[in-house]
Amino acid sequence: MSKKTAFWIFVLGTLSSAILFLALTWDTHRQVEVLSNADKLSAQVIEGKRVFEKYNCNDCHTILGFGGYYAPDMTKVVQRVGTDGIRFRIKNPEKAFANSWRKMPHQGVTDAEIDSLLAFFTWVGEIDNGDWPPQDSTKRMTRSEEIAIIARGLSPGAAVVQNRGCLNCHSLQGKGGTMGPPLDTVGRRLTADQIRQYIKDPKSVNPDALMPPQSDLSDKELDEAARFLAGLK
Amino acid sequence: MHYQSQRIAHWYFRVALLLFVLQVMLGLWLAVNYTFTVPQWIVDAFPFSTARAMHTNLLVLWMILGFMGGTYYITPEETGREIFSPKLALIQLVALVATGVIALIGFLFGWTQGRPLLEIPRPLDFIVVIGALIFLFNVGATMFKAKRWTAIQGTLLGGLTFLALLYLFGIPFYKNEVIDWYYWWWVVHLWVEGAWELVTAAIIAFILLRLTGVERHVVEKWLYVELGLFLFTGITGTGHHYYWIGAPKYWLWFGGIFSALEPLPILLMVIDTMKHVKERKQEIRNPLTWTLAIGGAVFHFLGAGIF
Repeated sequence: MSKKTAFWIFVLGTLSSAILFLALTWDTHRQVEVLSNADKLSAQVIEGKRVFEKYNCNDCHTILGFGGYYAPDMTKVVQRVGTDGIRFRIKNPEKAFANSWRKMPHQGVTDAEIDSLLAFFTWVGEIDNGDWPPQDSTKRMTRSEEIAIIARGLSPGAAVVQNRGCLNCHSLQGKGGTMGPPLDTVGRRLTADQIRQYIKDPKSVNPDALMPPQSDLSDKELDEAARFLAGLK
Repeated sequence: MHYQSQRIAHWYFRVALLLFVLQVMLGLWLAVNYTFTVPQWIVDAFPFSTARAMHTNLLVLWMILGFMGGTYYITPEETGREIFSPKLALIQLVALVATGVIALIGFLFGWTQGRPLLEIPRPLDFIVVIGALIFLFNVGATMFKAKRWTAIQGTLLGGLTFLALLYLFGIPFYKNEVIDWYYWWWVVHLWVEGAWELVTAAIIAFILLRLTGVERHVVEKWLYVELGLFLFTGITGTGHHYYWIGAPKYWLWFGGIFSALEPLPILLMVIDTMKHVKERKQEIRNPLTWTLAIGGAVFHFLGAGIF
């Protein structure tokens, strides 16, 4: 190979990649308008981003997957702990993280700033970003559920019922607890939608229900468990 | 050393070394934060985020000062003449270090741009830009006056210009968090896998040339091939950071394929270094530099290629 050939490898390699990259950049700008709901970027959301930067939150927390990797990801924080939960954590970190290995500093964030921050987090949580981060995904199944599905051939719903402690109170084929009614024929009485609603918030169906709401189940887990139980007839 | 003005490099390296030591100390403090529970009153006074901002900015500063010092050392030998203005080079060093010190103290009091790695507040960014412009002017003027162009110095100047240009994308306030990350990576990724690769490749080529006595056209030929592969894979390879930020899904394909190819040029660099050493035309009089060059190429492959 001559030096001239080598030179052309350099020029063509660089140019082709740069042109491709710039073209994709142009298209990305176009698509991000839709994917990020740019029409909902209100003045308060933008102010919230400034607050997020003012207190250097991003050097501990991650957002959209990037940042300090020291504290939890903020992308879906509204879905995870709710706006009141966020407000409480910012104002009282010493109480919120009293038992935590890692601490959060008092930043002296004003109420107005927190309002903007919440608007910002709410907007970020709606971005169509391929369901990141996985721990906040509504399609999440736990690791032990996944193992039960793959290694033991259980249906996803059966894996949820086994792994989430349903059988501590309820029973199937005589095995399990006696606190709640047996589930063997629950599908005769209730549809999948009714079961789903009951698991999520028992008191909304029966005000005297003793069963606690299963609020830590993901949407996916609720769907699968309800489908499995509705099939028991 | 054949030229008086190469001495400027000493000052750059001394400062860089000092900053490196500071970076390591803060790094140890960060490790403490991961290992033990730090009491609330310390967290309130000196949070993890502040220490991390100082740690990472020290890294960027010492590395850039190292590049600049290296350039001030190499340029006279490549061009065959003294640096255009040694005084400007020192002024530029003082300006950049002063900016760095002000930024570090500012972080302690919460003065920050608040974006990881780009925490230096915007007013200070402009001093950084001025420092970079002085540097590029000084090196460029030396090369233009010499009227002797080599691929090595062209790569060096090109890489450093690219580095300075990319820094500009980190300065604006982006309203949209997705677009913010998009251009954040233009600075962070394209520095590491673009501009820094050019600078590293040029410096390694220079060292090989001096050390092994292999003909210039052979060294420069391989330099071109490496650069072509670096930039071909590195530029579009930026896409491997765009998977989950809210950018279109096709980045999974472009980012995945191009970044899978990224280790190739670095591997070539390692092989090329070994080959030149094997085919050397002269006794290697400075085994320490030789070891450093090979070690640099190998670690570069491990760090930038594998991880």
